[in-house]
Amino acid sequence: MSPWMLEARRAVRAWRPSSRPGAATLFVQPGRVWQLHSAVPATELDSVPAWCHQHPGTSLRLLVSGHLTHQLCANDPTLPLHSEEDVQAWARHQWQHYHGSVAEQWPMVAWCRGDERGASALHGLDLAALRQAAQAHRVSLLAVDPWWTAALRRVSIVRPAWGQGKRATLWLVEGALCTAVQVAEGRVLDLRTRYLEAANAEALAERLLGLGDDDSLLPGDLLMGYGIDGEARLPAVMHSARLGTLAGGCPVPVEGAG
Amino acid sequence: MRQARAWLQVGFLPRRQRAPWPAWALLVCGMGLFMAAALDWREADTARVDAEQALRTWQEERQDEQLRQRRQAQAAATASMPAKATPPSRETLRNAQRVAALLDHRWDQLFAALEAHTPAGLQWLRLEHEAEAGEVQLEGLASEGRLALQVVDALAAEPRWHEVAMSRLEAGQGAEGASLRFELRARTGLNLP
Repeated sequence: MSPWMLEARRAVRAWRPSSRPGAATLFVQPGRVWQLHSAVPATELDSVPAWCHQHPGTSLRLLVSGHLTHQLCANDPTLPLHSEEDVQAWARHQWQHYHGSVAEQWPMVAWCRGDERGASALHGLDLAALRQAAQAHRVSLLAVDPWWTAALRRVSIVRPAWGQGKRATLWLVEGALCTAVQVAEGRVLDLRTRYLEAANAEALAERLLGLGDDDSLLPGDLLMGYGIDGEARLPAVMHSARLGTLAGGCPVPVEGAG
Repeated sequence: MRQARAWLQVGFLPRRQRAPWPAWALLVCGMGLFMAAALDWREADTARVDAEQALRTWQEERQDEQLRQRRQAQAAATASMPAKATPPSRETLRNAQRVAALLDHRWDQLFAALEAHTPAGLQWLRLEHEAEAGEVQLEGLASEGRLALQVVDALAAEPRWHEVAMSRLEAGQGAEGASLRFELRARTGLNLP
């Protein structure tokens, strides 16, 4: 096949929807990269550029851990944010206030869909370098998504009715990091980040059950994630809310949910 | 059942909306083909219009030629006819007038007069009438001589009958036995002018 035909095939493949089968899904954590499989356990990789080097001409989709992103929701309805640009400017200003000028360079994505207003920033990953590495090996980088949005996708598949009614929370545990995605009637109302004392069952139970308020695990909430030691010691109420194991080194893929 | 609302989906890469370059290449090729087809169609349509115009012109010329030939044939036929019709001769005219007069002759008055004055016992055998001269010659059978004379007298009394006379009378044999055969001549005013 001539080079220009190969290039044409790559261009067409890149244009196809990112959820198409055949594209590899890598989960990126600080210092670790996993390839998620639908039928077999995830495999740990050296790096994203190394994977691109080994799989030239393929397609790739990256899920980024909450350890590498920041989330912010504009919950105050009086804030004059009427477009994605407004939300992005507001969020960048907030992050610059807390993290300094480095936040100016973070890749960001903002959304403004009715009362769903917020932004995510990628602070722990060199997106430009990743794209360059992918391009060098003719790998189509289809998507770079924060894990919480991929987790919502997974929930919509295994629990289609969840979150379409009254308020509920999806607790995403990544070791000592816990991201609470609060939803109602199919909308994302809030994204909050909480930290555990340790990445084990006791600390998780203490954080999610100890307060007993709106910031706690309530009936109807879901719990998913990875990196928790002693999963078996979790209270029964957390077991029932659990969506898949919390013990692995990375999230289980969509098809492997149980 | 209410349709589930799709969850918010965000990503750090811009959603790719632009079509890849092979799609543009295909589009350009498609447009090129379309243009070529349109030009071909235009040429074909122009050729069709020209052909139809040529056909119409040929048909008009053919009709003109046929019309011209027909006029020439008519002119030739007219030329072959006598320049002027020969006027009818006097005799022809007279004969024609005579035939017309015979058709208009008052035969009804002649027969009405004969029927009115034919008594019982009298039979007519022959009638000759020269319409132009107004002469009448009659021949008949009468059972008695008196009846024949009676007819002569009655016809003579008619206003338009003149010179009624018995020209012959002789014994004969009729269907009912012995009878008189007679012949009479007369002139009538019924003759033609």
